[in-house]
Amino acid sequence: MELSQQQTAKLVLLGEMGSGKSSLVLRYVKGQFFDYQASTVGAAFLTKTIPELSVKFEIWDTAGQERYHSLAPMYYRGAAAAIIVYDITSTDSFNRAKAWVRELQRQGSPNMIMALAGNKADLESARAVTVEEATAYATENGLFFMETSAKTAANVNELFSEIARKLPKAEAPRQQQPGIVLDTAPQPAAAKKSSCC
Amino acid sequence: MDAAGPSIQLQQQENGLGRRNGQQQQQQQQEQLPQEPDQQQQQQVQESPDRQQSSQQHQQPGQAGAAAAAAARAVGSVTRSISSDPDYEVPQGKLTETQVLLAHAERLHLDRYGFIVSEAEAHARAARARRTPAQAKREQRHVAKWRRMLGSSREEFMAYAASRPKKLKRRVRKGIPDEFRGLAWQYLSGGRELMQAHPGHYARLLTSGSDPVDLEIMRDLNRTFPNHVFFHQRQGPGQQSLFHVLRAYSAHDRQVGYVQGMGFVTAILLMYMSEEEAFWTLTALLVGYVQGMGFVTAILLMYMSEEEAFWTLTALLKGSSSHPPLEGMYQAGMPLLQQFLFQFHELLKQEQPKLGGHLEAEGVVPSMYCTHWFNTIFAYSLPFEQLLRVWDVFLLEGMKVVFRVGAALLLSAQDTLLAAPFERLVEALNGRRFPLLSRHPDALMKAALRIPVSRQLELLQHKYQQQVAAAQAAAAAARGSSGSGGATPDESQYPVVPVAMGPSS
Repeated sequence: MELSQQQTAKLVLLGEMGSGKSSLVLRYVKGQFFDYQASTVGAAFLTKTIPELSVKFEIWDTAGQERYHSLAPMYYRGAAAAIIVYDITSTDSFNRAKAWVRELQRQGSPNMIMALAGNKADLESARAVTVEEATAYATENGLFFMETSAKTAANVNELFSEIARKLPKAEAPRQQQPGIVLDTAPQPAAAKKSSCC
Repeated sequence: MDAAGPSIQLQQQENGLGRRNGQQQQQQQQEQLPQEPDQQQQQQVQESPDRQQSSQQHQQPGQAGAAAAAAARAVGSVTRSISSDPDYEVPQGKLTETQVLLAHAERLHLDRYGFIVSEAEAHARAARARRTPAQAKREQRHVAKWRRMLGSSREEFMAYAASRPKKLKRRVRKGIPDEFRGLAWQYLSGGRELMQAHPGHYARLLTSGSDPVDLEIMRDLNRTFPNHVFFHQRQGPGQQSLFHVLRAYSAHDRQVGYVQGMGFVTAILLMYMSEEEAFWTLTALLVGYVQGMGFVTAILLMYMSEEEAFWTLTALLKGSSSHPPLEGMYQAGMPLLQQFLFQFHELLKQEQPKLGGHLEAEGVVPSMYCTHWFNTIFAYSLPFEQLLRVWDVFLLEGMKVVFRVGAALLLSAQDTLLAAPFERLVEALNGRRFPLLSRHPDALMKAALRIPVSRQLELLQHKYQQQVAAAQAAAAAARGSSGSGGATPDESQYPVVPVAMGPSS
């Protein structure tokens, strides 16, 4: 029953160290949150099924530090989707996110769905990256953008579900109009700046 | 040792607090936890009017000594020294005073290694650690043997190690007694020797100016063993020590700097030794000082002239593959890590064709599950008791124990793994529930050390190097003809050749 229809999608999380990649995944997959999530060394692997959408994510959570960069291609190669995470309280992490976007545009698979996640949205008082700035960047680059908080769980499920909806379906692709989404682009990297709405 | 600036002294004192006071810490621990026979025994060990113990009080010169003395004064007790090595202080092992005080202050329940657990779990672990009288006696004999073996100085220990290498190996494989672990690790790694040879260096490194890498280190501080009493407090003494050692290392070795993973290794060292000692042990491991060069040199010098000894030593080091420097695991492109992953993959295929073949057929490669085995020498994922035993052997025999333990873990789960498709495989391999890990640490060591790897690893290293050379040549040729440099500098320098992800060809 599941095998026939269920779609398996490889999804990779990339972004600056400490931006909250592991926390996002853990919140999404297990509904847990730890203030001090152990740093990821190498990569972690988790799966999560969304029965309503018949999608199963194989999630690769990567180490954020620059030195681990050389391992990253192994994880994003062949991925159907990527979440590039930054920390809204850190402009450095936003710049790093941009670098990841450029790299994926250059070297990721052309149909990869790219989402930009501004994490730690609960830390409004320490905000360093404005919503406007991130939205503008996302629109310009055809990314799907959301601000999230792994701590409060805000927008976490929405982020992953939206990616699941955007996955190209083998049969009967259903394009849904995003509600919470700030920007959408079905074909990111290759065809830049194609807004569908 | 040079005197450092007053501010550093202060920091050191703070961090030195309680790191070296076996006796009181034991007593406090006993208030905290149910009495354990082996603790009793340790206390006996530390209190016994042994010639070495009684003869030495805190006479350590220089900074570490000052810190220790200050710490001792601060808590109103006496620092004892087991050996007559003037630089040597009681290796604390288990809980330090600071840790116990922290635990008391916050009403935490700890296991015997200082990990924060629930009350029920603390009792359960204490019960598991309880020994029968016969076991306790055996352990006591083991401890006594180790004390004799450690002798009264590093030189004495090294001489013993040189004359009875097999005995040393056997004893290390049985597990170093916890109270001697910190010291033995320093001896075996060569860190102790480095420290003695470079007085004042660590203190100078601490005064080095701030660096962007500091921020990266800081970001990981409260994410490194947050479940251990020494490290769980934000900017507490443990996190400060960790910060000091890591930034000192990054200043010491700019090529490596700070890499995620080093924090876990350093944190384990800091559970058993002071900052300065941890720094030098880390240095010894990363620059390849395992099995002290000085010790080899000393032996050589008994039999030959200086010049002869120099060249023999050079030959030994160049030709030695069991203890290569490990910094390549952390340098740009992580070349040594790539090599380890390749070796592990091939080793599995050769030695366990069924399992290795299944993994390969499912497209599962080591980078999907065991990067951290190598990059943290298992500190990231093994249960602590097993980890300590692995580290004991690692410090004597080098990296090959990681391959052995890794292979043993996979083998213990073989039946499950063989039946699992890609997804469940990767999940299982990333998990921490290998059957061997729920058993006594002896079982893991026994299973691991049965697996022969030395010869294969050597051959595979050679094979890997050839492939890298070929890939580099090909890349250079391609660059020459097309003139386009698509690859990042890292990739072109250390091409990730053999073990790619995904169903490999």
